Amino acid sequence: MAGGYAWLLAAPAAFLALFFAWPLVRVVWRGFTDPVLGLGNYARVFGDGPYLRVMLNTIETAATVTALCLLVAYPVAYVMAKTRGRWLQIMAALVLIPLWTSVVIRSYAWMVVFQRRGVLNDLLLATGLVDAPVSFLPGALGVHVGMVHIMLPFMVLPLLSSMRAIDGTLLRAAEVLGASPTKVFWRVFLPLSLPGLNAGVALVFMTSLGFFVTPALLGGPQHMMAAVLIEQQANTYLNWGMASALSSTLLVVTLAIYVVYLRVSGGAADAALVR
Amino acid sequence: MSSAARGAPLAIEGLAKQYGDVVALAPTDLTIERGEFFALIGPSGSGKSTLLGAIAGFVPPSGGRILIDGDDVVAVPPYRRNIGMVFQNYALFPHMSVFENIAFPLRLRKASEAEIRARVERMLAMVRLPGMGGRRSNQLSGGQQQRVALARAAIYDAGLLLMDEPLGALDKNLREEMQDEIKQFHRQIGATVLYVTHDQEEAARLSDRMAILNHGRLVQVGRSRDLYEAPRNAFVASFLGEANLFAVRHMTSTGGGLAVDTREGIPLAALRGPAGAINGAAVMACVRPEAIELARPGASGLDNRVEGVVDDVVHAAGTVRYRVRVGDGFAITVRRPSRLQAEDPGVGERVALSWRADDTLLILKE
Ligand SMILES: Nc1ncnc2c1ncn2[C@@H]1O[C@H](COP(=O)(O)OP(=O)(O)O)[C@@H](O)[C@H]1O
Ligand SMILES: [Mg+2]
Repeated sequence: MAGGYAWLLAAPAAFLALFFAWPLVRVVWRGFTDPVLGLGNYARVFGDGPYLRVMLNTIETAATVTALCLLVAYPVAYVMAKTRGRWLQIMAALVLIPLWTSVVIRSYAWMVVFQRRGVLNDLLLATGLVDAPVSFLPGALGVHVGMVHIMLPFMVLPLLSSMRAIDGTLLRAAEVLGASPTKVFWRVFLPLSLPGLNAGVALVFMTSLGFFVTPALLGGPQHMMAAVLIEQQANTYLNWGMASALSSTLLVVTLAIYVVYLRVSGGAADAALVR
Repeated sequence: MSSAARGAPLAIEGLAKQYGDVVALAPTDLTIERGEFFALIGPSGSGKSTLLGAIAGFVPPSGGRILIDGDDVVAVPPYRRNIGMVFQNYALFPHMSVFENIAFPLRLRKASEAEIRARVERMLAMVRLPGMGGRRSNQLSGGQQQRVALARAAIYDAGLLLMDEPLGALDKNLREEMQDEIKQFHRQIGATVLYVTHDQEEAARLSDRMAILNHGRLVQVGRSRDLYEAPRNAFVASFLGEANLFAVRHMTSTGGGLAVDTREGIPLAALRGPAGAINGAAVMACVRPEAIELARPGASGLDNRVEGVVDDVVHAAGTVRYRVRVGDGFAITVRRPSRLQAEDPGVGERVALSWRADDTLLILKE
């Protein structure tokens, strides 16, 4: 840290050390020591039983949510990037307004939609598509839809910023040089939107790994995710050692996936997040 | 390679473009010969890019025809027109190497890998960038980037090359160097070139012929020299070089010439009336600064004579520009070659200006 301003970092550094690094060390430590010193907790995490299944389900859910978000967000961002003026403002508002409502409320809203006597079942019954209410909750569908809904802005925004930075002359140049609109998209537009795509994917995937409220409300025991399991271990069973081991595992998995992703995307995700 | 056969002739018939009420391009006719280097000049907003965009295909015209090699291409999408284009900001793809940028049109045309390699290498040598194929475009200087853009536009042997102010982003010295390169490049590839610039000197250096646009209208077409020596109207006269303009009130025939009465109160002698003048059209007189001679007051002079006081003297690279005030608030600009040790009239001195009758050009006001 060159220059005489390093001391400015002292207060934030102390804060982080006290309230972030130290608890983290305690958590990792506890995973190995509570109730007795050893790898007992980790043997249970990776052994037979529900724990590994929940971990894998967490990764799978996060991956699915990320893929769905990308699928929905890319066309939305594409249209927004081509729009100017009032319509852009309206679309930006539609993307951003859900962020003003808490995740808890939005998850409850999806419960209202998916429950036995909910909006969706009423609709299905009224149109005669089903004879009896379908049981959506608890289940994977609710978790996926709820999480995609919540994570969508975090995919749209980096994509949009990347797409709006693309110079329109490049697209015209490609077309004059002989590229049909489809080829312009695949060979020029898509590659130039990759920084935003990578940033969005990293953001959504890693946030999804730690999701709590939505899977807790909509997922149930059959579709449990890591954060719900950890909370249960700590608060219901008071098994702090197990909660710590699960937390540490989730942390390592997240970091590992992030590092691999950085390699694959050539640092583009990082660059776009920093920019 | 017989290069002359490669260029495609271009003909534009009644081509027009309107954005709502704004006429970006009034109905325009223009014919450009096979292999010709044709410049399009005009002030900013005069419709140059609109005309070029219509030919390239990304500005849908409001009317008219565009014939490339005899075929009307108005309904053809840009990617099937087989036109080469160079943009002011180079428009190189930042996610591709120099090699891939130049290879891009060939890959779209499904050329074989071996052919692509051979042609790109040849083209790199031609634009004096041998061995630079592996670079990223942002590792190149502005001049080098523009050469890559040239190579990319020319590699698929398009009969027509469009260039929209390709040197606009470069500084003056580099621009002149690149002008020579573009000229030479054109001789080598033989394509028809339509070159947009707002710099009349650049147009004069590069082109066989040029067209001047103003407010979306083609004002005059011709060789640089023709336009300078016989401008159609006051706009052309002052856009190409400098012009002293007088508003003509009245012309009367004299033996073998015209006596011209001007609003500035200076009587002028001219030889010929304005070309293509219709009765009642406003006429102006144009005298080029270098046609005017400077002498001491009272000295005998040429057909046109007027006296005034030197207001300003500027020495610039080989020429001296004088501003001479003649009468109320009207000044005449005179340009003389700069000579060592010469006794130039200074500011405040009284001088006599004179020029020949055939240097008084009578032109249309509009
Ligand atoms: N997309 C557009 N929408 C509305 N007006 C435009 C558009 N493009 C160009 N114009 C107008 O058309 C005229 C000609 O523009 P242009 O061809 O870009 O001029 P030049 O290239 O000579 O500077 C200008 O008055 C400009 O404002
Ligand atoms: Mg322009």
